[in-house]
Amino acid sequence: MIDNNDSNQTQFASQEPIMEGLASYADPVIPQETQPKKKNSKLILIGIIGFVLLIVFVLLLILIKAMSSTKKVVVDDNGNIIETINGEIDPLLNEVYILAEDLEEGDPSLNTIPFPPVDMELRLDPPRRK
Amino acid sequence: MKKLVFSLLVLLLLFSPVVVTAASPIISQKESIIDEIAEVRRSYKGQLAEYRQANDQFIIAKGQYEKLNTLASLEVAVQDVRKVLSLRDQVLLSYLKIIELELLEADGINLEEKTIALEETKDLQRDFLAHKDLVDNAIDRVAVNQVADDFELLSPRITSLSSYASALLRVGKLQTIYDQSLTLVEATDPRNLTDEPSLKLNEKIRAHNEIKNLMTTLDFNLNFVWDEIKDSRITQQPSETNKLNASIYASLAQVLAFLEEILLDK
Repeated sequence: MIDNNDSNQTQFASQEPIMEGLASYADPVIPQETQPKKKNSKLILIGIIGFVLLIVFVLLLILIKAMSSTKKVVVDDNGNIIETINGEIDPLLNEVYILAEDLEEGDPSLNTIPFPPVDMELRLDPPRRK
Repeated sequence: MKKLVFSLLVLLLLFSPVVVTAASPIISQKESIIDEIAEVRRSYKGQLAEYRQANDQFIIAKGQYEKLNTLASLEVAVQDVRKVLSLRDQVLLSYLKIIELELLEADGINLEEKTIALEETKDLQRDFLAHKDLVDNAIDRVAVNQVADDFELLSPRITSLSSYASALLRVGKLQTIYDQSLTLVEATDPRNLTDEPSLKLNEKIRAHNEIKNLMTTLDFNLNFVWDEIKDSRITQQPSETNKLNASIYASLAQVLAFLEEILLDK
């Protein structure tokens, strides 16, 4: 049995239960089991976004590969047909054209160091006979 | 994750200058030689024009001396011939410098032959410089005739070097194109293609074998030409490889045309 024998005469009798009630509802205690649940939902969300991004990335890769396999045929200045991949010349074919240009410069009938057109028998008097 | 990306970027930044600086000395050296060749060629042309002008003047002076036979006309002729002889040496010195630089810049030349040619070029430059000094100090008729006699010893050496260096440069160029073509021939080998239908693959293998046969013949001919050049240097006789050079040139053009055909049919 509770004794209600408060000797404080300045406190209103009705004040006491209200104060007690506020104290009990001011800081509700959150159950500890609810906190990991929020963390888990965040991780799941990040995982879903990551997965979607991965799928988009893979799809983009497939799309790029599919586009690169479509070959275009163009004609160069000399009228030669150049097969291109996405508008770019096949590197091996390009190499062949560069070599062909080098070969033109390396024509063995051309002399890059022709002898200077100078008189190699230049002299004032004719040479003395030995 | 951020740390990983950051460290990758740092690594990339650290290594990129190393790669650039490792490759650049060879390229910059080659570029500086090309620039030097252009510069020497420019001054060579100027010297040649000056030589021609002086030579025309000397021909007139010599004609006057032969016609008048006076001491005054002799003095003019001596002065003029001295000037032309000096300018001719200068032209030939520049020509030797061009040979030296062209040999240094050229790829595909047998190292032993290149070294021998470069040594002879250096020796001749030294001898021509000494001869030019003698010409500049020749003040009378006897002296100018003497330096003209001395030149007769240098003349065959420089003509021989000229034809030798020309042959080296010509064949070196063909050899370089052959070497690069060989890499391309290997890269286009259809045996490396696994997704090709067998009927098409056999056709491509036959075409590729044709190119390989041409390359074998080219290799044989190039080796023969190098041997000929070496022999001509030893025997001091001009090499007779013009026909073979033309044949190598035509075969290389054929190889490149075949490679183009194969690559267009890919």
